Amino acid sequence: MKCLLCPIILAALTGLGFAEPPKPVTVTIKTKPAQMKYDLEKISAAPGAKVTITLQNDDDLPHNLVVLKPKEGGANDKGMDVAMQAWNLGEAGMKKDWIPENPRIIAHTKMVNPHESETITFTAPEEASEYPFVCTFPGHAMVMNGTLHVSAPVPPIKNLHYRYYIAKEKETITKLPDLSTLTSVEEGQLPSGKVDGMLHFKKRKKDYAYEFEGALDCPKNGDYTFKMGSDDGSHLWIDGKEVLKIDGVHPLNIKEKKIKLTKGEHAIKVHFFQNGGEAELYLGWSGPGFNDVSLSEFEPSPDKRKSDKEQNYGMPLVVTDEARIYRNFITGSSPRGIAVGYPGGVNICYDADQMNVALVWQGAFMDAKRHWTGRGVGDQPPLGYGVAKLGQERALAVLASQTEPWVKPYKKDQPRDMDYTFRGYELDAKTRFPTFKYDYKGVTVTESFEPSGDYKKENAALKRTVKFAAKSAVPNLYFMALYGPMTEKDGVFIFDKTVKVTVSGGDLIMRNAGAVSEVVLPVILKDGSAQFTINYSWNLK
Amino acid sequence: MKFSLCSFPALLAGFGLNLLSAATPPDPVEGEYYKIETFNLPDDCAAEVGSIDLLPGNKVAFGTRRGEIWTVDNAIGNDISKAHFTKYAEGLHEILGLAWRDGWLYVTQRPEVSRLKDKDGDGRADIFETVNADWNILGDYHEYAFGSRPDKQGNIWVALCLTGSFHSNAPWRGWAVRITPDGKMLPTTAGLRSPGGIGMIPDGEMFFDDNQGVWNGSSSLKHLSVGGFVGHPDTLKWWELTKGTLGERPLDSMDHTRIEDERKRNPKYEPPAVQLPHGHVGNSPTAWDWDESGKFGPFKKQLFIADQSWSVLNRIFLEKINGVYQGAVFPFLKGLKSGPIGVRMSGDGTTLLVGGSDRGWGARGGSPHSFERVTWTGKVPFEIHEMRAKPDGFELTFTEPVDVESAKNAASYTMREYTWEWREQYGGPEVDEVVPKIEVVSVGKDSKSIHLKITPLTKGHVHELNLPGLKSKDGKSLLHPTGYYTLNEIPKS
Repeated sequence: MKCLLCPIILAALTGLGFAEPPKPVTVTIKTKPAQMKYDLEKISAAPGAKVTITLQNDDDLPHNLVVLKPKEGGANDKGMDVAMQAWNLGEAGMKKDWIPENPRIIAHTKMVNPHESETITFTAPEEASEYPFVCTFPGHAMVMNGTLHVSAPVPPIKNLHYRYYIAKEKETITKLPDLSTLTSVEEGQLPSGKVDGMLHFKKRKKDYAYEFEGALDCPKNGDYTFKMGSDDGSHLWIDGKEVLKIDGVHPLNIKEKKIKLTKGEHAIKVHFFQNGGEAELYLGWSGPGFNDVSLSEFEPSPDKRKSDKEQNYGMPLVVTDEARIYRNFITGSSPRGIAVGYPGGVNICYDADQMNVALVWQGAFMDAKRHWTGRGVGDQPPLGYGVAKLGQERALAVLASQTEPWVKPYKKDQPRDMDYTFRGYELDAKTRFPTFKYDYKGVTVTESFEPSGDYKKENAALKRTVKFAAKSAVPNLYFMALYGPMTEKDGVFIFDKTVKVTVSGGDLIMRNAGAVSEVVLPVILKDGSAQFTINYSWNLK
Repeated sequence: MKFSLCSFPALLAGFGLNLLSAATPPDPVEGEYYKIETFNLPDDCAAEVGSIDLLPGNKVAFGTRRGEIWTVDNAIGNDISKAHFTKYAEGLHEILGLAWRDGWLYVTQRPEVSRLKDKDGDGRADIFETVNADWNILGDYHEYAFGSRPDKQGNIWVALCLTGSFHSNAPWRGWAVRITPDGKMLPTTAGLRSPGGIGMIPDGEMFFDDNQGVWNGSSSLKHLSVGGFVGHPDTLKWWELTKGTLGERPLDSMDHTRIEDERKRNPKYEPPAVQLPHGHVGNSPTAWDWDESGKFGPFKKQLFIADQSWSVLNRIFLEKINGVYQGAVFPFLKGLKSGPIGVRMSGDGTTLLVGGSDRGWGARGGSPHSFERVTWTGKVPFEIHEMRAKPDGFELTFTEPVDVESAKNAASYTMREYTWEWREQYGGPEVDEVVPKIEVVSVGKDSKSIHLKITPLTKGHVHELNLPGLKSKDGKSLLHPTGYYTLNEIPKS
């Protein structure tokens, strides 16, 4: 599909000065046999260009192709509304070739019988936008659709120069490399003006890197949005300033950033590295009068070209006058995360793998879009701010002495023959605040949380109460109250420059654990019970 | 994506008729016999149904992929608009199992089996007690946990999908485990890939369905037995953790062979009971349930099993031959609104509740989520009722008397026998096709059964029988003229 598209886009981009008439576009769109799909789902044209589409029906069912204006409001509905209107024509639809009366229709073929074809010609609208095309035969539209992208021609990268680097023998590349540590094996020009992370992929499929340099010609002063995505890492600079950085080894991960640029040429530099597996580098930009124009040979389909922000934000879970719970994969917690949002903008993530609090933060609670759209891939960070990463250490340990190192955290890929058991939580009838419960070596531990203040008034705080109950004493039992970077003055801890923490109810022992500090307390049961209180607050003054 | 549209034309054959009369499905042909109705949901209810169960007081509960549980009053009965929805719980992690027992609602969610109770009677759960959380999750979206209703001993069986649906990267990914009434986890069956549903069949035995993929040429319904193995060898790395309780470790599966060969080589390997041929009856099977009352038509004790990507229900007839489960699958009803994942028969046997979502994989139904119900109109469709293996072929029974003349004509039948390569690679083509000779041995005295002699029968193959020429006594064609029988064993008598 890509090979068919490139000449069209290139023709449109390179063959044109802005004053010349828009270059006509001629494409053949085939229907895929028994798949209910067009073989081309994306075509591009300049505003006002003459567009000629031949629908070649290779399928065994009749199909049409109807080009539409965007839905009111500009959204690309993939023609669904018009297709539904066609469907609702019922019996009459057959006689009308399933073309309903609708002002959105720009052009259309008739019903094209199996193994026949029809050609239509129309003028691309002047307004830059996404114009859906769709088969309106009932039941087809859901999958049989595509988009005509109308946008002003924008030139690709000028004087694009590449340098190709490979890792030293027996070395691998796992993060954005300092290119001076690699061997440059080739350089040259890329007349296409498009960066390419697979330029030498046939020869070598892993542990390589590229540097691309050239100039971008901005048509106007204004806001420009760059989208970059890579598998694995990539780095973008404009005029020597970092714009986007995607480090590490991972599947295609797309980020975006908007910057202001002046009319004229700007230096662009891109780094890309490949560890192994898929090698993908996508770079695209939008600006005044043009949208989503690719600057890379690799171009994900429009639905896969969304940045993290577009994909994973937009369904905030609003906390009103009672606590709200969200169990899912949460950044900073092990996979059994239980996030709780309290009124007043106080939030925690309880880690039900380690039996400890992994995060506290203030402000907004969580955004569910990552997990409630698509397959729900990945960890989602808190939506608010002032996130104190309290870590994934276990809360309880039996230590032979006060200086013995803390127990190792439970490892998620190891057998769970643990010495503790999570018992779940109970909600308060009125506030819906949860009280968590777990058992450890015969001790039943309950944890409850009470928020106070309001993040809007900058006085948000959280009181955590940890209660222990056991029939018999557990000697040398310790509780980890705090773990991580912190400073202490007069019994007040400033944790990671983020939250102020006080701990009461027992004797605090401060210990060093490498680069970080630990605050632990011996758990001494009196009449079978003990209790600690930990206060967290965000106003550090 | 599992979503594939290769048999869309078949679906459209139905649409064509539909278009003449009404603007939307259901298909009028199937619709004469079974009615699909869609519940109107409250605005704040995204019914991405992952599981459904029945509560006391004629209530229904469903759990969703978004981690909510809704209770529904008046879901069963004449007027669907009287159904009333209440949010019972929220904030759970991808619910794919619900079971009401002894005043508790047992919930299988991604990290654990929990049980919930509404202590203060305000309609919302207050107690969220963890029953067991002894399996690992690494944080991969594919690490689903499907939970059954309790078996005869009170155990909830949980089918744990592989990490990323390819590998068992931690215990007990790719295993079925039992959670006992006292909250212990018993690892039970190894070799699962990507379950879509788990539950019992009428005799009380536990089954799950595995989705097409690695070591699964097609999706299928598989029996779960204690100490058994159902194919994916990466899961066997945790066998030693069972400390002998499950007997000897099964052998690793051998690539590029056949299921029938593996059965001979690897005695602990249990073959799929019923292949659900990929691209023929669906692409992604999920939950099932059955009716014992007869109020859901003539298919008592047969399974109605949903397919998420095709938005359909199929029907399964099971039998046990030489101690091995096997049987046939038939298309049953299409036109569900979304991708069904949860299925539950009402207590009175009149209503099959179905709900689901198309999120992440797509479904033909087209709606992002739905909660629906299916009822029998009382009219008996002309269908194959049962397809039983015989030493020399198959015996078919029908829901209505057949036209004897067309029944006796061997040209009324065609058959293909095939299997899939047994391999580590994803999915795979149908291989080893045999086109057998078909002879009509006899037509039953009541004209409701036909005995076909098939030469040869091929052990391990799906026997796809088409009956394009068969008519009922009053001249109707079969509503669904194809059945797919998985012949693991040939009966001795």
